[in-house]
This record gives sequence, C-alpha cells and structure tokens, in this order.
Amino acid sequence: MKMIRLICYISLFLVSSSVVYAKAVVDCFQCHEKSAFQGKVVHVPVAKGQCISCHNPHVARFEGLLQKQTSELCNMCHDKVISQEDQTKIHKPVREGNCLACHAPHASSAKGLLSEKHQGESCYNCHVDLVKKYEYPHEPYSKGHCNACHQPHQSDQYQLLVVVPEKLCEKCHAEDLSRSHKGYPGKKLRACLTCHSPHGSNKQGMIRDFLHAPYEEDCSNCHDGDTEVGTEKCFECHDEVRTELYGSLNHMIGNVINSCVVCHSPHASDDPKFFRNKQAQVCRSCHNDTFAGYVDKLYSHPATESCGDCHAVHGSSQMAMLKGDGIQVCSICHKTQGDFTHPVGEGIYDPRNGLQMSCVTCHYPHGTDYKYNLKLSGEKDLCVQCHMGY
Amino acid sequence: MTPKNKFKVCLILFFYVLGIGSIANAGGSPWTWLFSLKMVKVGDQMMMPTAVYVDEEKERYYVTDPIRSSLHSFEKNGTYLNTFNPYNKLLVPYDLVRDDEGIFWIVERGRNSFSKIDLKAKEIVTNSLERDGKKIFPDRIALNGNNFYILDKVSGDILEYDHSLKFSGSFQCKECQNGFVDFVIKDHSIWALDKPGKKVLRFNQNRELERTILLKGPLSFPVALEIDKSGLIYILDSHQANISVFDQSGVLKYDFLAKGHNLGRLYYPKDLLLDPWGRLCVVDSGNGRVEVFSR
Repeated sequence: MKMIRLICYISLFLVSSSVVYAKAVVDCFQCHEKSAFQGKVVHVPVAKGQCISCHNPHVARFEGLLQKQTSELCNMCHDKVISQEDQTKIHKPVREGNCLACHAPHASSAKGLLSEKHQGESCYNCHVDLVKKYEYPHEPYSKGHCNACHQPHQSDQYQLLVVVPEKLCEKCHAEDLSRSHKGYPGKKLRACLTCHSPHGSNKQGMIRDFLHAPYEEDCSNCHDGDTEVGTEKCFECHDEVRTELYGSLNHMIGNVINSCVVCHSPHASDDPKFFRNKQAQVCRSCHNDTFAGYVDKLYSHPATESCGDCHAVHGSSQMAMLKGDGIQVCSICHKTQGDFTHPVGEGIYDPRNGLQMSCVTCHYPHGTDYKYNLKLSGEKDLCVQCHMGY
Repeated sequence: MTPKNKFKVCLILFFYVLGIGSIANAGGSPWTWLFSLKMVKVGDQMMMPTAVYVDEEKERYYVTDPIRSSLHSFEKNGTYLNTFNPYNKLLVPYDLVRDDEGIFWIVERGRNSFSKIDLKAKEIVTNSLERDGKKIFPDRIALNGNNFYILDKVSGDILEYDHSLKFSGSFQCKECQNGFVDFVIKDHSIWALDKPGKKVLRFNQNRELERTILLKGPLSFPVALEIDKSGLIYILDSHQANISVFDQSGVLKYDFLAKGHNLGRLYYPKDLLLDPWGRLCVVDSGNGRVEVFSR
C-alpha cells in the first residue's frame, strides 16, 4: 500500500512539474514583447515557443542567457553548414562562430533569417570597400544578389565562389560570349577575371581599370599566333624582375608556361601593378596555411594585408623571401627600436644556432598568442631559451 | 652522499637522459639526433643552406650556402672540413651532385645555370638549359647512371638530360596545381611530391605513372621527400617544421620534430636526405645547419 502511495506521489509531482514547465515556456512572452519576435520568417524554435532550446530561463554562462556559445548552439541543429575538410576556405564569421553577424536569431523579414532586409546589405556590413557605384555594374551585384556567385558559408573555390569563375560566367553569358570572343565556344573559356571585373567597372564590358600597355596597343606585342607566351617574354620589358627571380627563394611557380601570370594579369587589372586581385588575396590563393596560422592569434601585425611591405614577392635569398634581413625589414617602420631593444645585429649571436640575432629571433611578425608578437611568453619562457642561468 | 641526495642525483640524471632522447623521438619516432653539420666558429654560420649532398666514396657531406655563395664540406662524423667558392665564381648555389669523375654539377640560382665545376681541370662551365626551345629554371637535381634529372621550377616537371645536357624526356603531372616541388630516385623509380595536392607520384623509368599516393596527414607546406629501404615515405614540412612518415598507402605512421631554434628543432627546413649510412639529414635552412638523425 505504501508503495502504491509513493508511486502516486511521484506521478503527481512529475505531472505538476511538467505543467509548470509548459507554463514557463508560454510565460516568456509575458515580459518579452512578442511582436519583437515576429517577422516574415520566424526561427522554428521561436515559432514553436521553444525558447529554452537556446536560452536558460534562470541562469547561464553566456550573454542573453544562452545555453551555449552561439556557434555551438546553432550547430546543434545546423551542423551541416560547414564540412571540416578545408577550414581555410570558410567565410570569416562562420570560422569565428559569429553566426549573428549575418543572421537574426528570432525573426527576420528576409529569407534565411538574414539580419538585413536585402542580402547585399548583410554582406556590405563587413565588405564596406565593395560599396561602389560603377557606370557599368554587374547586375547581380547592383541588386545585392551576392549569392548568385558566392557561397555564404564555405566553398572549395577561391573567393567562396559557387563554382570556378569560367563556369559561373558561362551560366549567364554564353550568348554574349559567342558575339564578343573570337573562337568561342570552340575555344575553351578561361580566366575571365583577368580582364573583367566581376562587380562592375567604369569601362564598357566591365573591363578592369588598368590596361597593360602592350595589350592595349596590339596583341602581337606578346602573342605569336597560338604559341603560349613564356616568362622570358615578360623579362624583355621587366628585366629588373629577372634579378629578383634569380634569388635562392623565388616565385617561379610550377605547372605553367609563364610564372608571371600566376599572380599578375597580362591584360587588365584593377591594380596598377596588375595583380589578379588584392595582393593579400593573390598570396592567399597558395599560402592559405600562412594566413590561417595567424588570423585567429591574439596579437597580429596590423599591416599584414600588404605582403609586399616586408616580402620581396618575386624572390630573394633571405629567409621567408623577405626584402632584407630580419633587422632591415622591421626597421623600415620600427625605426627607433634599435635604441632600446635587446642587442641585435653584428656581433650578437643567438646561442641556440649561432646566427646573428635580429628582430625575428624573438618575434614572429605575422602574429602569435603572446604580446608584441613574441614567439613565447616575454615574462620568462622566451628569455630562458638563451639566458638559462636566470 | 646521503641516500636522499643519491635519489635526487638519480632523478636529475633520469630526466636529463629522458630530455636528450626526446629531442627527436617524441611521438613514436625511432630517430635520435646524432649531430649537426655546422660551422665551428660562432658568427661564421651557414646562411640559409638549401641542399646537402653525400659523396659516398669520399665519405663527405657537401652543403650549399646560397647567401655566401659557397659550398661547405664535412666529414662523415660531422667534422667541419672546408668552405669554398671555386675560383670565386659560384653565384647563389642551390643544389648539387657529383659525378663518377668527381665533377660537381651545381644549380646556380644567381645566373639560372646548371654549372659544371671541374676542380682538377680548374674549369667552370655555365649551362643555360632548354626544353623545346624554351629556357628552363633548374631547381632540384639528381644523377642516375649517366642521366641528370632536373626539376624545372616553372613547369614543375622533372626533365631528363643526358651527360651532354641533351633533353631526352619529362615526367609530368598535368593535374597538379603547381607541378612537383621535389623528387627522389629510388628502386629504379622516380618519386615526385605534389605540394598543394599533398600526394606522391611514382613513375617508372619509361616515364609512365605507376602509382599515386595520397598523403593522409595534416600537412601544411611540404617541401621535400625521401623514401627509405622499407618503402616508408618521409615528408618534410617547412611551415610545420616537422617530418611526417607515411606508409605506401599514404597512412601517417608517425611524425616528429617541431619548430624552434634549439638543438633538434627546425626553422623553415628546406631539404631531406637519407644518406648511404642510413642517417636522415635535414637541411634546417632557418637555423643555418643540417641536423643528422640516426635510428
């Protein structure tokens, strides 16, 4: 009898607590204005009143009484947004777990719970340099349809493109191409972006801003029929580059006829040095691991977007293809450091390898988790590498 | 000495031995640091060495020093012998081999030449190599029998030349993004490393591709490879500053070494060589030395 009574009490307790629990769900909107959680698109848990699937009603470690960090919380349901295979071609906010940079957590007037009404507006919140007015804009760009060409989360293509640029262009422009490009479609389409700007231009046909003089003058300046133009052809005008490329480390890059066109556009560019993209983007297309190595570090060099400030981008015989040794390069900007720094330079040798000490003996310029971009903690760990007696 | 002090001394010795041993063989590696090929005088170090070559007959190591435009020689036991720049004409030497007649063949980056240096005849001949009428940019080289195998940095192909430097064929990977970055000749096969594709391709001497091995491991910036007698593949990663060892299926067996400047640590290493005595030589460019490991 006692047992039956106990079971009844337990059942009663469970039923009553679930009633209280259900009531608590409904009760959120007694204090939180319900209209603030309404919109054309409502997040499924909000629509179902399941606030506690993300929030803890009483106490939490995370802002907004969230049960977990935002990205972890989102991944509980949206775990297929990114694959773990290539972490380097992931949109920065996704990699940082900052889902709310683009998405509203409760409701929105835009598809995909985007925080802005139009997709382009969401993108331009960060990509401020893209907000330009062109005389000849690309239609998807002017309408803010960024996802016509780009993936929002992850892609296996450069610049998070949906597919390789040529296939992407061909999707909409097959008809124009047969009018404006000799030999198309018999000749395979290649490297559209070497001449055309994908967002827009002030030149007709969205041709990029700067035209390479020999190209502007006459194709035969470089081309002889269908023969591929080799690196030596570029040296005919740019002989100074040859000397740099004859360094111990250089950017003679394989599997091409002409190494120059791996980074430079031979015809047109938006950059006066004819880079195919912003310099950092060009470098990143091969040196992803270098960028990934410092992008999330606590301390990183402020001007790491312009690789050519420190590196001789064609070639040099210095470590990491620097413009000079580890002192010469740093002192281009850090002119006064020599007055009060740890002794470096002539006659000062690193006891670990016998090499002359320089700034890069202790600092890793791209970025580290230690203050002043030190390789180890400046409190002790770095110093005792050499000063063991202390 | 009191038993307490004896215990302390034993403990210190134990950790010291453990520390020395763990310089290289952390993570299941059988390799132990043996010695460094480096200069004796402080301040006279090799600058950014790029390659090491072994003359088995003379039992000597030769190391290229592109910044000082010199070659350094060492004995089999690591003792420094000499630094020389033949007739002061060498310009940014990058890689070298020595043929049966004792003639050095050196890739001189400074003049894009595959130079012949005959010390006996006191002769230096520079050679600008071509393939189908186009100039090539020699990178890594190997000598097999009478033929030179030269990696062309622009095409990323391995090119075969006879002893009179006549081009006779190529080993290619058309689908590799940047071609090859290094190769070795072992067991009558050419093993070539595709850096971005993180794979090793094996060709037979008829230049036919026999096998592609995808390396299943966390590689970042692989720059050099070696193959040991049991067929294990050693990959030197310059940015991770370590060596990953894979089996013939591309499965990672173990990795060892780490970034740093202390003994047994690497900083932007550049080349790898298994010498005739079974030692693994790592050209540690950023630390100006060659680290030699044995097992």
